[in-house]
Amino acid sequence: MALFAQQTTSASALRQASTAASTPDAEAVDAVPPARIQLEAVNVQFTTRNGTTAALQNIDLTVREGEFVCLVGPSGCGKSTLLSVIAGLQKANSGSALMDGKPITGPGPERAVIFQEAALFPWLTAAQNVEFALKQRIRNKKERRAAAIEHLSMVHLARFADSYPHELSGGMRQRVAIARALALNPDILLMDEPFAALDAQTRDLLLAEVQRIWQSTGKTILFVTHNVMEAVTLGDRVICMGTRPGTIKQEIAVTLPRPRAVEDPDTARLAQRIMTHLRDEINKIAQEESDHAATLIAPARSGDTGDIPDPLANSMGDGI
Amino acid sequence: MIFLILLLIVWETGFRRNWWNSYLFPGPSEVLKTLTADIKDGSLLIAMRISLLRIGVAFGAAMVLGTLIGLVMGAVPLVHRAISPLALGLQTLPSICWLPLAVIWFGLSERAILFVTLMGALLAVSIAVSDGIRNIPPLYLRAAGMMGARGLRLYREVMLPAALPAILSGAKQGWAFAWRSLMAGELLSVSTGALGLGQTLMRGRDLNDMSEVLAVMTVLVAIGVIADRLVFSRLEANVRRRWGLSAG
Repeated sequence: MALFAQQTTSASALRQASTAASTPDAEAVDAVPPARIQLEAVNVQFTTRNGTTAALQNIDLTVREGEFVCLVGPSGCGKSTLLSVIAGLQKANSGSALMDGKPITGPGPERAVIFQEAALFPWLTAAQNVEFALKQRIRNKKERRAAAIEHLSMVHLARFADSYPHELSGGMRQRVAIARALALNPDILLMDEPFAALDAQTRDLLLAEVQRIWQSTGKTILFVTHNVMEAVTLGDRVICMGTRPGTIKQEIAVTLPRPRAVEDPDTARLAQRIMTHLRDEINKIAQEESDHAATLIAPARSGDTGDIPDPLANSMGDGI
Repeated sequence: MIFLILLLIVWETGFRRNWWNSYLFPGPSEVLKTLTADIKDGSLLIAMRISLLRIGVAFGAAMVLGTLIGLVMGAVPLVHRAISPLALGLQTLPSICWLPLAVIWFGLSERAILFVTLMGALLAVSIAVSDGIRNIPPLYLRAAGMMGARGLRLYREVMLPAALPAILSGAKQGWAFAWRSLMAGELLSVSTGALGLGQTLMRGRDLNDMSEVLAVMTVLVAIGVIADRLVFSRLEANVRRRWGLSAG
């Protein structure tokens, strides 16, 4: 156990050092913004019929005020679980998860979550959905409605205030979800693959929109995605996760000028570099799976597990 | 529609040609005559009012009680595990079987009929509400929790509306059960004060007035169709559309 702890400290120290080294020109000497989220040695295990899997192992993560942090990794690496721990929707089996120095015990409006599906209430109009989030802050009905419209206009949807979710497109629904999350006036926005279900054009528009909102509101954002391009386009820091068990493999500071777009050559180059690192992880999964399949299929064919199809094209970012 | 008209023609022809004993099964023209006479002297309207009032009270009570029971069953897994086998078992019991008990408890009275009708709808509604609650997408609850909706607000503003489509199908089913139970109850308790449709039907039998029996049956079918097609199905379709559950 003691050995474990030591490893953790040295690993996180290394990571901090590497971050500092890769951003020498950032205003490093200025006062560092205070940490909003602090995870230390977080472990999460899931028990299923097939035994216990470590979804997250020894996760250390600090998210500072106003930062835009992207978590990226192949599916099943526990990145969504990590977000759920911070959101208070999932309890860590061990380790500590703090928000502003206080332990996270459950969900709360200071940590707004934007889910992969918009999770709007279908029986309420767009404006009423936003009003739902405003209810505890604004008692007066008229003021609440006005504030809802204001939030909808931040995502250019004021015109659709009285539409029901099923009358909106997927991208519009997700924008309403963003407006609703912002209406909670959260300290931190947690976005869980919010654009994964959208088509590429809609997603690119929303990438620009999220950057604009981040810059104009100064909110702290933690953004989970399996798409490296998205992560590089959005994040100040891109945190790469490995799988089985879910661990933090690498952390890359992105200092490219904003606003960034997916088609910028610098963005693409950086994404390419990160993907090279992630490729090992993906190959690892593919290897495990084909090993597993081989043991299931036939002992006679045990020799040819090295023949792995390249899964990268499917599971990683589009357009690279 | 054409089939129905043909059927009416055959029925009327058979009646006029005396293919069967016409007094046992009068033709549509006779039934229509009785129907208009009953409407004119007001007896049918009074009977309708009484029956609709009864089902209104009993079904209303079943909706309120059933929703409460269903909410508790849906929200507390322990209660669900304890009650649901009992509820499912009792649901297979035709609710008219409650009549002997009801007669002992309340006498052969209005309350006995109401009780039987209530029992007809109660379990269907409870089960539908509890299933509705249990099938709410967890995503809604997570979103609600994230927005700080707890306790009563969570129930009123999230769980009930989210379960509304299921609650409405339960109501529709409950209404159908209640309507059958009410008629059975009225048929079996003719001596009870006010004459509802079931009692009017039974009185027709007692007086050997088959056209009266058929007239009341026609009214019963009409009320059933109106309630199902025009009220419940339409309501259900509206809600499903707005909830985005069906295309269009």
